[in-house]
Amino acid sequence: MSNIIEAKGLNKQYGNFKALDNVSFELESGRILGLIGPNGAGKTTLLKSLLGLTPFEGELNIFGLDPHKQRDELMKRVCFIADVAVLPRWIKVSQAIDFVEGVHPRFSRELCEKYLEQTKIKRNSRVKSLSKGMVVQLHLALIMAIDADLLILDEPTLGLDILFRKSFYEQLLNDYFDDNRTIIITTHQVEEIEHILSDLIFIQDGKIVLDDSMDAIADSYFEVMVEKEFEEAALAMKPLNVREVFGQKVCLFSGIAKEQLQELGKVRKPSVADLFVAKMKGEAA
Amino acid sequence: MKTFLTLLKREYWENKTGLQWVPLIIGGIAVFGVFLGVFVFSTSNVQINGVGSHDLTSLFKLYDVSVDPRAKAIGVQMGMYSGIFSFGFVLAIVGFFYCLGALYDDRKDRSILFWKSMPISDTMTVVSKVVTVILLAPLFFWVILQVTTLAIMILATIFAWVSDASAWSNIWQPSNLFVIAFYQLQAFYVATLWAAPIVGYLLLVSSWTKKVPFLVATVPVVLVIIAESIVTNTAHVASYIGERFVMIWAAYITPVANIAGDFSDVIESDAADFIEEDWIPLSFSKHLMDMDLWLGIVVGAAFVVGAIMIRRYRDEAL
Repeated sequence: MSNIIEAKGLNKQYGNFKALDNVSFELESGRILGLIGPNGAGKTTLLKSLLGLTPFEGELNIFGLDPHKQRDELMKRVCFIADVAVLPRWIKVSQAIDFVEGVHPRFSRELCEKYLEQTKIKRNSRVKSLSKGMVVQLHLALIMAIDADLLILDEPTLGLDILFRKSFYEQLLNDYFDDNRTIIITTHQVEEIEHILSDLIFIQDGKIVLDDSMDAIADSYFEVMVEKEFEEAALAMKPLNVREVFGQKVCLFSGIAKEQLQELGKVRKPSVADLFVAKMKGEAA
Repeated sequence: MKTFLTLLKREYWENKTGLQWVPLIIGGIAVFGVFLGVFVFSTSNVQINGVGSHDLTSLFKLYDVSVDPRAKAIGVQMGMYSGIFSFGFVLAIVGFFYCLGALYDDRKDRSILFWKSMPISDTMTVVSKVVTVILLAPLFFWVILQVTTLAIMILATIFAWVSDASAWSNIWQPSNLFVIAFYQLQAFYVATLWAAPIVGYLLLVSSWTKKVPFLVATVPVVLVIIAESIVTNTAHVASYIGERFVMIWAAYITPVANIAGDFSDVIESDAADFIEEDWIPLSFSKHLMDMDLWLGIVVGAAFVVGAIMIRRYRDEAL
């Protein structure tokens, strides 16, 4: 698999504030990357750079194109949902379909109609009369009907209730994703997407603090429910993070063999959320 | 090409009110007014000094037999042409607000992120808006003006029948229908060309401003005019803008001069005087030969290029 994204030394500054600080990463096709970071960490700036919506310093290639200079070319292969409710409020559902069909060479009306049939959205309604959840369904139907190579989702489910969020990701995974496509997602609700991710990037203060595949993470990060008698031994091994659950210490380790940890207590895979908290604390300290 | 046509369709969908419903309402009011005039009030009497009291139908009959055909023709043609003034005025207002919103509204409601997620260049997007306001809007207004004119002529025909006068010799024959329609079409487009720098300026503001495009477009111009008058005691900015409005007006009254010229045999000399003033080009070809018109188009085009650059390269997409 070849890389579809290659970023080297990306920098972006707003006045004194460094939104991107020497960011480098690569991404192969057929992956689902979760881009996680606190507010103001640079997620949106990074996505905007990828989409050619903002200038940056450094080297960035997507499908061999410079997103800032060759944006028009790039947008034939890349789709994005910036966040909910960016569909124009005045447009009718049928007009939105006609529009995308008219401007996008890779759009399939049949596919879009198929997705919409699973919803209660009427063709002659205007976007402003749809509920927030329906607007997202419509947007997703329009975007999923485009045969794009890279899909970028920035907080796609913000403000939606749990039912919509679940079906959103299910549909994305079951109906859309395949080996030829790549998806980048940012979200606050990490726990809802961690089972679909193949790669993970944590970003804080404009810097990448973790960039690994989920498989590699599962091999190198372990969480141990430490038995009372081993507490001191465990702390001596310098866990990344310690939290308490029902009076029992839960330690997060990286780079220590699983067998060794099993002697301390029950070992399990850390959740992305726990890993995130540990990493963020670690960077802040 | 398909993409561009889709973009024009998009503009029509979004601006149906200004492009279609507003001129239809103006036309509807005009037709309704004529309807009221000739059918509802036609039975009431009209007092005319020295002639006594008559209802409208008998007055029309009187007009039919007593007025010279040439005078009738100029009356009909001027009347038909003059429909353009209300339409032109409203077109200017619709165009003004269209331009202010064209590159601003989608940033305000963030839908620009949807438009920008499609493979459309910003140049094409902005050009589609220029084409909408320069080519499509005048065309919509012209077509609806013609429909309005025809509706009024049909009402007039019925009225002529009721009055027992000839609709053909009083209305249709002297109307010079196609020539007047063509005058109106030319007047719309020449006036629009004179407005080119204003259109460009408004689009630039629309692309640039972060809030209230109306104030951002107007207040600085007023301030510059005031500052200029205080500092250098001149009024170049004001006179440039004023000249644009004069020439837009001139474009609309050029056909009046043309029609009057056709009837120089029946028009009194002092009435014909105003059309011989130097500052009004007497024909559309004179408008098109005016260097100021083309300079204005160049200025307008430069503003549009600026609007494209801002939309394409501004740091914040919003």
